[in-house]
Amino acid sequence: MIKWWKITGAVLVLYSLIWGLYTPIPQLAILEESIRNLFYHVPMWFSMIVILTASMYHAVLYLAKGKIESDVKSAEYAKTGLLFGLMGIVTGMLWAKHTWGAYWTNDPKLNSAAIGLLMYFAYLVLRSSIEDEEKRARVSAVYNIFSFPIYIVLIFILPRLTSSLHPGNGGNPGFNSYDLDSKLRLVFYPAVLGWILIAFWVADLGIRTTFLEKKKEEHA
Amino acid sequence: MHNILTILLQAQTNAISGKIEVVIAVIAALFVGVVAYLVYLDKKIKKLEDK
Repeated sequence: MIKWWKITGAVLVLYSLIWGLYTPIPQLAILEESIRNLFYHVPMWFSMIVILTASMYHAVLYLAKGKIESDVKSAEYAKTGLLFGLMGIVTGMLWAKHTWGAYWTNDPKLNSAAIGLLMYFAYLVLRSSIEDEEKRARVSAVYNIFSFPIYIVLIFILPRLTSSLHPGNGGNPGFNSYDLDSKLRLVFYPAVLGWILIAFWVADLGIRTTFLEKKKEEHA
Repeated sequence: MHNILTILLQAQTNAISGKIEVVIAVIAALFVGVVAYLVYLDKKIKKLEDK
């Protein structure tokens, strides 16, 4: 049986895909119909943050209890977080091209997001460079715990301190201020929750496959 | 000022027309396909776990 939360995630995302294209939107210059990207681009980042929080949680758990299962979970959540971060970057670049005029600008929000993703790529490189299982688990748990708060500062705090094109930063309003009739919210919140659940589903498949791999290695 | 502008802009609600339903149906079908594959993988892994 497929777990109830996985089905819930799929249903919520399906709802947001359908209703997100159909719902009336506020008519805004420059953004125009592209405001609908709010339902698709932004949930990628929400999912990434939540899943990377889970990754750090399991890194802490590993250091506290020393169970290798926590290390597997931490690593798989980090990989899923990277996937969603990459999808966030790609969708954001497309949106930027058609509203700001360029795929990439040297905006603090954009550069910070890119640096953050590189930190998690480095995490994977670090993991693959250590042979010993326990040592790898310990070193990467410490790295994970350090990189998460840095990422948070990079994408949520630094862009607010300077000027930024991105909504919700440096004097620019977030989408909440456009959202007078809450019609956007009615699609946006289910989309965020749905994609978070889908992200956990994808990570869950990765975790279970790795466990199976480990079990097979033990028997061999 | 900003609020008034937004309300005015919102007043002209956009009625989407021009076969957008077809696009919505296609996107929905794609997503259902991906989810079906996730379900398939999930069940396959479950079978291996039960072995």
